[in-house]
Amino acid sequence: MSLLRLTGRAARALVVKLGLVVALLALWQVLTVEAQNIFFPTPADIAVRMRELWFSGPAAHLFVTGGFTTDVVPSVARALAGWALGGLVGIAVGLVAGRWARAQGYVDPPVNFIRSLPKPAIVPLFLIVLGANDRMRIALIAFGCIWPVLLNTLQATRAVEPTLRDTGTAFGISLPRQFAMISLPAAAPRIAAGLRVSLGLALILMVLSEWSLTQHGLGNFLLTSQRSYQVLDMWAAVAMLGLLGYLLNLAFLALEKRLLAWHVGFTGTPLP
Amino acid sequence: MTARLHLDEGTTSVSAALAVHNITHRYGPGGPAVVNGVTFEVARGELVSLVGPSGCGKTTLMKTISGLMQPTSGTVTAFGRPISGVPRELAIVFQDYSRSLFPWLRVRANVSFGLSGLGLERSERRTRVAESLAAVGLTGHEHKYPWELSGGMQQRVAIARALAYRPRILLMDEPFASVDAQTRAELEDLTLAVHREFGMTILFVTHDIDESVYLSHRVVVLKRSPGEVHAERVVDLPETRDQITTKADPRFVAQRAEVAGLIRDAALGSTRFSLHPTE
Amino acid sequence: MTVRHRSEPRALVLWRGLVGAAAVAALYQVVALAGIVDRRLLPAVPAIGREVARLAVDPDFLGAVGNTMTAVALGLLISCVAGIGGGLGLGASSLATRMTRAPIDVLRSLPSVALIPLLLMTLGDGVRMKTVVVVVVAVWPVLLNTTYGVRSVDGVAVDAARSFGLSRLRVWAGVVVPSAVPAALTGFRIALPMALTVAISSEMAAGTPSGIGGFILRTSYRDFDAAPVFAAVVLAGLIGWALNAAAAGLGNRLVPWEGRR
Ligand SMILES: Nc1ncnc2c1ncn2[C@@H]1O[C@H](COP(=O)(O)OP(=O)(O)O)[C@@H](O)[C@H]1O
Ligand SMILES: [Mg+2]
Repeated sequence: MSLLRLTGRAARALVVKLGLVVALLALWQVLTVEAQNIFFPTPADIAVRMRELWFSGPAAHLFVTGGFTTDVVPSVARALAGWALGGLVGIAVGLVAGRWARAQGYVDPPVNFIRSLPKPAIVPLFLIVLGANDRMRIALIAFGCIWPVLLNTLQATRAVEPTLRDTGTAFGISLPRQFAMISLPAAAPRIAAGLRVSLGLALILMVLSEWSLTQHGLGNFLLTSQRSYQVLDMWAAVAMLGLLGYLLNLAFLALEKRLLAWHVGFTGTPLP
Repeated sequence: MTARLHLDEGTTSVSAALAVHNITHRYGPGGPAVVNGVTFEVARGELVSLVGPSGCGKTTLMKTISGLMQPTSGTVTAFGRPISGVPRELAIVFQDYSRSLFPWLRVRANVSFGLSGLGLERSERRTRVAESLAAVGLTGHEHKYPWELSGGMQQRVAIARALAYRPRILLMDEPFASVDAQTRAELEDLTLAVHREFGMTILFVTHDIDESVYLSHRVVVLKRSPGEVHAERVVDLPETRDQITTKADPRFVAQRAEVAGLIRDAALGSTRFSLHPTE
Repeated sequence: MTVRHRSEPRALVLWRGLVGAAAVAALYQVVALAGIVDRRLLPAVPAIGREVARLAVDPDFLGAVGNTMTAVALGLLISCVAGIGGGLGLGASSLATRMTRAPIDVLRSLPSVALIPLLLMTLGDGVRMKTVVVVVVAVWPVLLNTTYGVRSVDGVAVDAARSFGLSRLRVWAGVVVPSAVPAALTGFRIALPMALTVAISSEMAAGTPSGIGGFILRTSYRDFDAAPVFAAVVLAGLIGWALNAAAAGLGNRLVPWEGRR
C-alpha cells in the first residue's frame, strides 16, 4: 500500500473522529461573534482567558500560574482523595458482603436507599456535622463515591463463578487471600465501571462542596464569578471543569484498558 | 492391583487412601436426597472410576468427598483421618476447565496458583510449575492466557495445576466431558501416565463407559434418583493400556458390555428401593 | 450465577429489608452517641423519625417537592423525546455514530453542576432553568444508550425480516425500534437519579427558597436544629428510591425478557 493512501486513510479517520468537534467549535465562534451577547463570549475569548488565568506561568512552574495552584490543584486533590477513599470502602465492603448470598436480602435495601439520596442534599448535612473544612469536603466526596462502587462490587462478587471459589478452597487458599486473588480480579471489570461512575460523581461533589464557605477551589471560583457577573471567568471555569472531567476519564480508561486486557480477550466483548 | 476388601460397616481399611462411608446429601433441608448412602473405598495407588448417568449426583458426591461441601450425613476419611474441609493431600480437576481456570492469570500463574497457600520458596515453586507443565506437555505455553488455548490444552493446564500441588489423592470430575474424541483419548493416556509417574490415588468421575473401563482398576456404578452405588466391578485388564490394543481386547469389550448392562439395570431398577445394592 | 429456587414470600423480603435498614439506623445511632462529633449535630433516630413524619405532611415541604418534581418530570420528558429520537437517528448510521462520538464525550464529561451557574445567569432561577439543567444532563445517557441499542440490533433478525420482503421502513419500525427499547430504558434509568441530583443542586446554587434543595438549605441556615435537615434528606432519599424502583418496575413491565436470558 502506498504511503499516500495510508496517510489518506489516517486523515479520513481523523476527520471522522474530530471533524464535528472542529465544526461545532467554528459554528460556536461564528454565532457568538454575530450575536454579541454579553452572556455568550466567543470560544476564542474563553480559551485566551483560560490561558491568562491558569496556563501563563513561568516555565519553571510548568507554565501554570499561581491561580492554577490555588484554584485547580486543591480541588483536584480533594476530588481524587475522596474518590480513592470512597472507592476503597466500596470495594472492601462489596467484596465481603457480596460473598454471602444470604446477606443480599438485608444489604440491598439500605444500600439502594442510601444510593438514591440526591447527593447535593447531603452537602448541608456534612457541613453541619463536620464544618466547612477540607475534611468535610473529602468525607462528602468519599461518601458519594462509595455507592456506585459498592453496588457494582456487590453484584459482581455475587456473580463470580462458583467453580473459581471452589478452586481456591480446594487448594487451601485462606479466605482473606481468596478475596484478593479470586473475588477482586473476577469482579474487577464491574468494579472499574463503578469507579468510573464515581469519578464523575467526585468532580460534581467537589464543585458542590466548594460552593459553600470556602475561599478557593474551582467550584468557588465558578460561583464567585457568576455572582459577580464575571461572565468570561465563569465560562473559563466551566471549560476547565470540562477539560478536567475529560482528562480524568481518559486517564482512567487507559489504566483500565491496561489492567483489564484479559477481560476483553476472555469474553470477546468490550469492558462494561 | 488390590481388589476391594470387603468391609463391615463402620470399619475402614488401613490401606485405604479414601474411604467414603454412608454419604447422603440433600440440597437444603427437606430436599430430596441427591446422594443416598454411598459407601466405597479407594486403596492407595488405585485408580477408581465412578460412572453414572448425568444428574445422578456425581459432582455432588465429589464435592462432599473433597470436603468442599459438608454432606448431610456420612463420613469421608483420607488416609484414616476424617475429612472436614479440603485436606492438604487432595487436589481436584473440575469438570468445566473454562470455569476453573483464572482468565486473568497466564498459564504459569494459573499453575502456581495452587502453591500460593503452601508457603514454598520461590525457586521450589518455579521448579514444580515447570515440571508439571512438562508432564502435561505444555512447556512453552507459560505466557499464554488460558483462553488463548484450545479446550484440551486448558484441561491440561488444570491437570498441571493439580500436579504441582503434589497431592496424594487426585479427584477428577468428568474432566474430559467437553473435549473432542481425539483430544479425549490423548488426555486419558495422559491421566494414565501421570498416575504411573506420580504414583497417586485417583478417583475419576465419568459418564462414559469406555473411559471408565479403559482407565481404571475398578469401576463403581452409580444409579440415579437418588444417587446410590448400584454395583462395583474390578477391571481385569493388564496394567499398561493402549487406546488401540486395549480397546480391541476381548476382555475390554466384555467388561465394557458388562458395565453398560449394569448401568441399564440401574436405570430400569431405579424405582426399586434398596439400601445395600452393592455386591 | 445466582440461583433463586422459589420466589420468596413478600413478607420475608420486606422483613429482611427492614432488618437491614434497622441495622444501618442502629449503626448511625451508635456513631451519634459515641461523641466523635458534637451530639447536638447528630440528632437521634427517633427525633429524625418524628421530623420525617411531620415533614411528610408539611405543605411547605410538599410544595417544594412539587416544584422540584415539575422540573425533573419536564426535563426527563424532553430528554427522552430528544434522546430517543436522536439515538434512533444516529444509530441508523455507523458514520454518524462515529462522528458524533467525540463531541458527545466532551459534552457529557463536563461535570453537570458546572453548567448551573451559567444557566442561572442566562435563564434565572425558575422552573425553566431547572428544566434546562435536567435536560442538559439527562439527555446523554438516553441518547447514548438508544444509539447503542440500535447499533447492536441482531443482524440475523434484520435479515430474517428482510427475507420476508418487508420494506426498510417496516423493518426499522418492526425490528430495529423495538430492539432498542431495553437500551433506551437503561438510559432512562441512569438519567433519572442524575436528573434529581442536578435539579436539587441547581436549587442550592441559586440560593432561592424554591424546591427541595432550597428547602434543605433554608432549614439548615435557620437554626441549629439538625433534625429537620436530616429528615428532609431522608425524605429526598425516599423520593429518589421510589422513583428508581418505579423505573425498575416499568422496565420489568415493558421488557420482561431483559436480564432473564
Ligand atoms: N446447588 C444445587 N442446588 C440444588 N440442587 C442441585 C445443586 N447442584 C446439583 N443439584 C441437583 O442434584 C442432582 C445431581 O447433580 P450433580 O451432582 O451435578 O450430578 P452429575 O454430576 O452426576 O451430573 C441434580 O438433580 C441436580 O439438579
Ligand atoms: Mg457433574
